Amino acid sequence: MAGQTSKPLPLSPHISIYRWRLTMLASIMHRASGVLLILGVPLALWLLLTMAHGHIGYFYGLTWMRSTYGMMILWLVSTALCYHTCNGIRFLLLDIGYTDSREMMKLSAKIVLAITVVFAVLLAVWL
Amino acid sequence: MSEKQISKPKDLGAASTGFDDWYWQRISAVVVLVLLTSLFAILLLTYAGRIHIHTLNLLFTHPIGKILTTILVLSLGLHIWVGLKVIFEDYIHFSAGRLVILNIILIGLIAVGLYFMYNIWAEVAYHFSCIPCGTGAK
Repeated sequence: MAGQTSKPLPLSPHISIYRWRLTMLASIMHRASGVLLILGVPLALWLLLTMAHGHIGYFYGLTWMRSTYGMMILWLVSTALCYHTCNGIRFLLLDIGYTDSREMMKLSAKIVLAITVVFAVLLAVWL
Repeated sequence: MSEKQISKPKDLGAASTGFDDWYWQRISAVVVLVLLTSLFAILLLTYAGRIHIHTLNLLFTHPIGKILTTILVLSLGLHIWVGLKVIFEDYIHFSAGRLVILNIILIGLIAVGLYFMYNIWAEVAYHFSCIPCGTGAK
């Protein structure tokens, strides 16, 4: 090692090194949706508290939920929750030993993304 | 990479709690999966008008409802903690900064969790007229 120049090793995650792939996108979206959902926790706490504080509070929360901003934020958080849940089940199945091949990982990622897109569209129509 | 480089611990070295993190992330994930899905189903049914708000109040003030909500909040807190820890350990390579940020997050999570606990259980303490909650007048 004496004469060799020591080049600093790349630190994880190697986002800028690897080529983008579907499974990688699914993994990164899992993190992104997780962080988004953490921001949704205070919102959920507030909504639950308005419900706990009787009729006036409940209608105050409900009015916000039915406002434009309320529906947009609810849609975003719900879509993130749908994705995080489906992909979480996918990861749990992977840990158990199912979907433990390259083809299955690609296929399951496609299924999860498809479910999320369908859910997002249906929710946008329903809200 | 030579043996010399491997044997030398980098920065702070390994915490050696990686398996615990992995394990608890999955355990809490299953608990959150079951309880949060149930909670969302109940709330959606209320939003759609299928469950009356009084029924919802009864569900959440029942001791079993309170215990399930407590387990959900604790598991969710644990899941958030491990998830954020993994993310920050991946993206922040400056140890001192990472430690400060993680500790701020931990204290914040504990604070929010305690506030949840207060809102779930304070009513019970109030019911038994404990001194810090006033004189028990209801």
